[in-house]
Amino acid sequence: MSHPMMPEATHDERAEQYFVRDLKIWLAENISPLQQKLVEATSASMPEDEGLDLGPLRRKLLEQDVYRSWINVARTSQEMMWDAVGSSIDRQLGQLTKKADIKAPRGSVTLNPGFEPPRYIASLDVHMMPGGYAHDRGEGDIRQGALMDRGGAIYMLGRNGGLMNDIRGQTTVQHLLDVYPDLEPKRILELGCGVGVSTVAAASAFPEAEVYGVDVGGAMLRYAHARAEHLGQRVHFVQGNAERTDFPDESFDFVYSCALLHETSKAAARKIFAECHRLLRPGGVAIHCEVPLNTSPGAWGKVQGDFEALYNNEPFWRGVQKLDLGGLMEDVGFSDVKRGYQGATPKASRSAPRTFSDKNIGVFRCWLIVSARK
Amino acid sequence: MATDGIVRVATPRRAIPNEDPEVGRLSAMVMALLGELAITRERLDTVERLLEAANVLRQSDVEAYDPTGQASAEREQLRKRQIGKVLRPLQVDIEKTVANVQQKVANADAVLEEEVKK
Repeated sequence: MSHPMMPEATHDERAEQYFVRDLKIWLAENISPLQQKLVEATSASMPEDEGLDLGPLRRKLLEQDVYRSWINVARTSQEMMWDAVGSSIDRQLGQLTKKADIKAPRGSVTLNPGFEPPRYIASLDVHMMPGGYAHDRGEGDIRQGALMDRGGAIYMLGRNGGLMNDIRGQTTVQHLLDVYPDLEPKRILELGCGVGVSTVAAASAFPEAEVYGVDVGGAMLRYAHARAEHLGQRVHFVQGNAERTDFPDESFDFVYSCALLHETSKAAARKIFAECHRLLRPGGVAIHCEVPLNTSPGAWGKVQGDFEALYNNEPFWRGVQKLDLGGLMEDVGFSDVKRGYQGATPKASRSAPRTFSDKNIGVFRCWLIVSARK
Repeated sequence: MATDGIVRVATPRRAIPNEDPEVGRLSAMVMALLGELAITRERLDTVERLLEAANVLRQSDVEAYDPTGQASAEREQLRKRQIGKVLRPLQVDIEKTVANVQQKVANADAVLEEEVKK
């Protein structure tokens, strides 16, 4: 399933995009396990106090040409993905821009011309996506959103709801239905909504609710709005910082984020949790959904985190996995915090079987969830 | 559609320590070439399947095709052209090296000749 705003692809563009997706999967399945062996063997060959110390381990690994090639090939595959999607979007940018001009919108976009994104966004093009989350060419520009939507969907194709790319959002809503079944949210906010894949999931589950999404980029938000409108959903998109929004205290019943935290920082994650607490009315619910990685404590986990930080511009990838998210929720005032894994679901529903448990069944099959009621 | 301000390369893009940038570039070029080949192969596959669906030919006809005479000669030219294109940088470098060596030999011979004349 797709949606009308999704950039289309010609025969050859689709072939190129699917090729890159398969290339990335091939590298992950065939090369990464070999790299893991190399890293572990290298670590074991070093003096005991150095083998798990990232600095010396990195230096030792960089002496090996195959390690350098692995970095090169992995990063190149990512760059090829954005290039493939970007060139396809440029071919149809005029049509997409026209399609994004909604005559009688049900929702809205509110941009703040003086807005400055936080440093962890402004200084890095996250995921090596050229321009990052915040780049905006001004009035009517939607390219960065189109890039993220098509790029993200292709990257996760077949694993996160096809071109809708919304299983994460559906799963988060499912958690709400499973664990807080009495809540009937009237006002809903997603922090770090991106192109609104998960915001639309909540809006469609609660059609009466007033739904808001906050993110940093103007082009991203214009696209998100057009995407939601074409899907028949009323969502209000607002440019802002998830650490401190302009919404009044206790103005929401349900505040959530989907894969936002790993794009921030340790200090920012704490502020975002505190912001959720401030925004919720008593009895309201906060949910944060993250990638359910089983952090390898050994050398390989460190090296993977190092790659993400240095060569994929994801400096907090590993840091967020080490954070005690539940403890952090308690620190900012929540109690009875739930931490576990919610089975991935393509469509949230009250009649779906309950899947929230403490068992991590793997990436794309479940999502890590922390949640609490205020 | 105006394309001003479009960003096409992500920043920062860190150098890989100890990597020869020329090798890094070459590796990225080979991967891009693989991508182009995948696109072409897929297009060919589409064409074959459409022709089969339209009863124009069967994929087994493609397998059974055995070029002879003129077709065979033309294909040989195609193959040679392709190999020449891809291996041209190697050819050019070897030619250059050979020319350098020949020049050195010629220079040495000239010096020798001068000495003999003295």
